[in-house]
Formats: sequence, C-alpha cells, structure tokens
Amino acid sequence: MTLSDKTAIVFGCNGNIAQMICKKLYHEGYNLIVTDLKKEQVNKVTSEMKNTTPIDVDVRSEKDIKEAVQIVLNKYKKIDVVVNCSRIALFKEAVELTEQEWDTIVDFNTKSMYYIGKAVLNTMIENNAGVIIGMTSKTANSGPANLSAYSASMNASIGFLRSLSCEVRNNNIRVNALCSGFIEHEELVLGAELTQNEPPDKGIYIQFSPLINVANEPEALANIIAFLASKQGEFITGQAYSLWDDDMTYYRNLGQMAEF
Amino acid sequence: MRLDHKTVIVTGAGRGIGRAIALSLAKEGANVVISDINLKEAKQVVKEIKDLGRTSLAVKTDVTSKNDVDELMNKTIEKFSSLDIMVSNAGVSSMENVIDMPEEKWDFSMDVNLKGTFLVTQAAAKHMISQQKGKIICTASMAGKGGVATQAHYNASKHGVVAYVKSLAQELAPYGITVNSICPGSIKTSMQDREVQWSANIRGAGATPESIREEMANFTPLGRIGLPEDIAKVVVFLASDDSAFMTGQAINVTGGQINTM
Repeated sequence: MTLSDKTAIVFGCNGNIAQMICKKLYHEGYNLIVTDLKKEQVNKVTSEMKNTTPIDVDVRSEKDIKEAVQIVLNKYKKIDVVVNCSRIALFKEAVELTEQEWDTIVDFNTKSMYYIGKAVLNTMIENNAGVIIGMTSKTANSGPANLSAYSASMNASIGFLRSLSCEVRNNNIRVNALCSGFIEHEELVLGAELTQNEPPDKGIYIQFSPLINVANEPEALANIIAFLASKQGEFITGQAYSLWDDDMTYYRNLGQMAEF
Repeated sequence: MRLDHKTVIVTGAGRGIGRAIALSLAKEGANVVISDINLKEAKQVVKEIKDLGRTSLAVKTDVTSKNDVDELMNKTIEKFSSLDIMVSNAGVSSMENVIDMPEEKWDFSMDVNLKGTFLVTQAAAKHMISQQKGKIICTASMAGKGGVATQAHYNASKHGVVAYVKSLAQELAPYGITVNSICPGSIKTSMQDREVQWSANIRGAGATPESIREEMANFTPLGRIGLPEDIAKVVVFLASDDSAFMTGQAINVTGGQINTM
C-alpha cells in the first residue's frame, strides 16, 4: 500500500512506542517527519528510514513547533496526520514535588498538545482534513501513587483533545488520544534530566495487560495509531483508547508495580 | 453536629460554590478559613460565618502563588493549631476556540485550576501527614470527564484535577488522609452568568443568557440548573466521617447530566 501523497509528523521519538509509531507510519507509506528534543536522537531514528525529515524541536517552545510545521508545509504543502509522543515522567511523591518540577512535566506533556494542535489547525481546516493523535497514558484514568503530575498532565491532555475534537468536528478533523499502559524508561530518564533529578534504573509497568506484555505493547499501540490515521478510522473522534480494561484497582491499591 | 470543632480552609470561598461550601460546613459546626483573591468578598463571608457562632478568618490568597498558599497555612495553624479539612475550590473559566486562544488564556486556566490545586493540596498534605489524619476535597467539574467546544483549556485543567486527586489519594492513604473531588454540573453562580452570556454572544441568532440557561436545564434529567448549595451538601458529606471509606473518587453532582461529547 502506498500513501505517498500523505504526510505525517511525529513529535518526540525517544521511546520504543514513538519509534514503533514512526516505523509503522513509514511502512504505511506516509511522507514522514520526525522531531525530538535531541538532534542526535532524531537523526538516529530517521537514519533507518529513507527520505524521512528529522527536525529538532523543544515542544515547550511554540516557536520551535511553528517552525517545524512551516518546514513541513514548505516541503509537502499539507499535513495529514500529527502524532504527539512527547512525554516525560518523574516518580516522586506529591508532597516532595517542587513547583518547578510540576511546571516542567505539565508544560512538556500537556502544553505541547495545545501548541501542536494550534499550530496545525489552520492548514488542516484549509484542507478540510486532518488527524491529530495524542499519546497519553492509562495513568490519566488510574492515578497511581508517585506520579501525580504525570497523571494530571495526561488526563489534562485528554480533556484538551476531547474539547478540540468538538471544535473541529465540522472541519473533517479527527482528534483522539491513545493511552499506553506503562511508563517507558526513556520518559523517566528525560524527565529526570529536565528536572535535575537522578535518572531511574528502569521503566515502570503500571498495569498488567491480560493479552500483551511490555515487549509488544509498542507495536500494538502503533497499529492503533495507523488505524486511527487511516480511512478506516474516519468515524472515530474525541476518544481516548486503551488496550485493555482499566479495572486494575487491586494491583494499584497494593502498590504492586512491576519494574522492567 | 457532624463537624464540631473541625478546622476547615475553603479556597475561592468569597462567592459562588466556595461560599456555599463554607457556610454549609460552618452550619455543621466547623470553623472555616475563608481564602479568596478578593479580600472584600472573603470578609463578607467571614461575617456571615461569625453570625452562625463559629470562628472564621479571611485570608487573601492567590492560589498560583506558593508564598500566598504557605501564608494561608501559617495563618490557619497560628489561629486554630490544626487543619482537619482542606477544600481546594478556587477556579476560573473562560471561553475561546483553540485556534484563537492566546497562550495567556491557556496559562491562566491551567495555573489557577490545576497548579493551584497542586499547591494548595500539597501544603495541606504536609500538615495532615504530621497529624496522621485529614480530608482533602477538590472542586473539579463535569468538564473533568468530558469535552465541549470553546473550553479546551478549562476541560484540560479539570481533567488534570480528576487524575491528580486519584494519584494523591493513593499517596496519602497510608496516613489516614482521604482525597476526593466533586464534579459539579450546570450550577447557578457568577461564573455561569458569564458563561451563558458568552454562549449567547457566540451563538447569536436570538440566543439570550436566559434561553441558554433553559437549554442547560433541559439537558439536565432532574430538569433544573443546580444551586451552589447542591454542591455544598455533597462536600459536607465528603468532609464528614460518613465518607470515611471513600478516597480517590470524582463525584458527579450534575442532576444526572452527562457531559461527554
């Protein structure tokens, strides 16, 4: 299958989930643009995918995002699909969290959604077509301990995307969120770096899927993104999809969180 | 009475839902600290609470300022020696489509509604941990569970509050502290007066604030707009021992209205 007239941007590519999404969209035939905070990261990810455009973008900067969107428009004239995978996490109790740490997490995870949504709306409205997908987390619904700012930012992103979906429903623009079930090591490492904390050894598996495990969840998520971006997903908007049921209260209340 | 000798702080208590919460808690016996950015309105509520025979105190607080929040805690502990119940209620709303929304509008909503909740509850939690007990109640919104056009910034902030409360509840449970949020639906307040005016302006075509309100009531299965007192009654329950086994919940008080899409 080829979609050579379709263009997709993925913001943030430092984790397995984002990289799997990039690969999936690339193999689906999209003209792919990949961004990340770190130039070496985006170069590494795009080096394996011919004709993919790497751009370094700090999603906390509206200027960076607008410039990236302009580069894409100059090259491909339109933007069909935007996926925001920019996420950072900090594993820390709310009573210990500093105001600066809170701001960094909420800005990186949630304000980026607002900046990105706003930056692509004009061109999508002009084309009367577009797909916006935010990569969020099941913590938005479950709210585990030691991840208060992360959970708050993820649910805030979902709230934003739900409202946005209502605003652009007559412009043939679909807006959805996808919720991953674990927190990637890379999210925690970057979160620690940006908040001047010690990086953790491992990622955190918040909830346990009855069907899949941490090794193949990124691929499952990437498949859903491709589906939501495709014509098959054309009646889906304003949704926050997870891969399995949320009722894992038993594990959560016992504080049982497996590391990986 | 259910809340005799309890010390409570209510933020955003100068008017609307916050004021009704403060008065209802006082009627149940609580001494209430009235925190608001508008000191004049706060002092008026203090007077009403004193008339009920309770002790009260007005503190001017901008909940986005950590210094102000620390000052609020210090003044409360200085006067009452303890804090039993924190009601984080201060909030703001406005209407704008995302495409036209200036960054300042986004920041104001997120700062007051979400970060304000973090700063206020964190300060309360630190004190309550030393007491090994306490109750925290946050005013979220029906907008914390669904999305509507022109309120993306408000919906984002209130979704954030709902999730934050769940996390905080997990963290504070070992200390015997419960944390819950309430999600009011369409409630008759000055905030709603502004919202129905904005809605009427945006919609045009003969829409009036009254017709918008009527529409809201029609969307509500119980057939009426809620009153601040409707919310306050549920807060009194969440503040009392009757809700001792509830934590991490987001309680809808919407007259049956479901605001999803």
